[in-house]
Amino acid sequence: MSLGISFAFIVYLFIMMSIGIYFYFKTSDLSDYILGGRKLGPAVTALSAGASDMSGWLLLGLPGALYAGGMNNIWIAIGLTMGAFLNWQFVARKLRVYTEKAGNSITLPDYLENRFEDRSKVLRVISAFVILIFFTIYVSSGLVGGAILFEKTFGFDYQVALWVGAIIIVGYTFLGGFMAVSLTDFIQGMLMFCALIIVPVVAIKLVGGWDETLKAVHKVNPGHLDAFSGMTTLGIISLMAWGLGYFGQPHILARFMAIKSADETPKAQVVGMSWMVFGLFGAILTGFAGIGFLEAPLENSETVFIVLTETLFNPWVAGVILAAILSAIMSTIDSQLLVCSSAVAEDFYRSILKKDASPKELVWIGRISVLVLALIATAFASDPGSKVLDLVSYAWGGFGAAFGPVIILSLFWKNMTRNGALAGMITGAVTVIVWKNLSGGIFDVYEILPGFIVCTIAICIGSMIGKKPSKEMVDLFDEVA
Amino acid sequence: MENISLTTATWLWLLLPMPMAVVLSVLNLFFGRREKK
Repeated sequence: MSLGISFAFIVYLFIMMSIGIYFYFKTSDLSDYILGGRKLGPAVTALSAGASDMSGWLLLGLPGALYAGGMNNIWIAIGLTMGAFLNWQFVARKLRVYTEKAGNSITLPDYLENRFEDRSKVLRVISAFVILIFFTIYVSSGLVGGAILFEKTFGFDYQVALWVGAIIIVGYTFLGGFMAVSLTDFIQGMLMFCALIIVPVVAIKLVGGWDETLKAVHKVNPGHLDAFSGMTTLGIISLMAWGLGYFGQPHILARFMAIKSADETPKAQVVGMSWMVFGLFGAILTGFAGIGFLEAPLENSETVFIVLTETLFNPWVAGVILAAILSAIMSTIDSQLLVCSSAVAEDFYRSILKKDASPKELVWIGRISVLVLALIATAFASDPGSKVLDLVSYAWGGFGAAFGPVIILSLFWKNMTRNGALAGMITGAVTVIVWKNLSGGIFDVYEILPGFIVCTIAICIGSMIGKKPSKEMVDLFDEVA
Repeated sequence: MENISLTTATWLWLLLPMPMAVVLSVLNLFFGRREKK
């Protein structure tokens, strides 16, 4: 273990914890704890949304896929970019306005209940339940990634690595809540961005430039230079369909709800999209640079970013760059834990168990939820060979199909009703689960696509039959539109 | 000497949708709608 790398990691983790402690003293009620009192500036919103969205996949998965398989891996990046753009363009501003006008909703289940005037609480409970189930799995997979990084970098035992990572992340999320998470996400996003620019630029320069890098890639496999190599139309559609997931990710939508003014969303969009596109290009180039720079093929292609960093830079610089991987992992987990805690505190505890709970009490319920959920997720992650990593695409697809069309149509279709939302949410989630368990032919398409389509149809049918929306619902819709 | 490059279709897909998302976001910043004050 290098002293430089260790020092950089310790300084980085110390800064994250200090931010958590600072915001511990600034948090007075649940809105502060889970939405930062809607005070986020555009840059923090943008980078926080980006960093929460992009987990270790951006620094490990995508460069690794390009390194191993070449340009035919760009489709998922293109799909994600298009999805993120459409989300910023059409959902962000409107969701910010609507959630405030609809009873100052601070969580997605809260918003759905207020938007559709659901007095039965069914919508709130089912959506909060979906959030808790999928995010516990999602958080577990992130913890596995963090533990593997600690294990590889410091030579820790897997279990020790898992607990060290979990304690740090839970520490600042538990203490500081949303503002701490958003600010740490911002710093983590900057670190990820710099790392994804510096590593490929330096590596390509050392290979002898872009042309030399391409020659090296061509020598390994000429097909690596062709995005269509070995791809079918269905395969391309399936990969690009990942972009649909954005409309239903609660941890990303929470950032939109927290921006201090709807007028700030265009600024945040420019920052967020630039960050994402440069980051994705950096990840793509890192994979290519790895082919050119590393002579012996890597046993695990996903370590290409780590190996390049350790090879190219002195340990002090490498430590800072490697902290970016930890950043990518931590920034996703903390945001997801926080959404889970909001589901417990706001959607279960305050709405169902204790309506007159005090602000302080709710903050503590939120904190305890973070702790309990993190413990469950850590227990799931304690088996490094567990299938939690496989479930990431499941969770992304599940959220995208269950919530995506519900959120879009709730913002843009005046006649949508509670029954439509409920029908869509349930059919979307069920389609994803059923589709995932079938294989061959059309069933090889990523489950989010059929889930999204079925959910949309179910919302339309469910809204057209039965009770029409009330006058108050329609008036509120018109006020927001 | 052979000139090695990405295929034209790859360049197109790489350089069109992703940077376009940034360009459109910038245009939206200057020409997008604002809340009524």
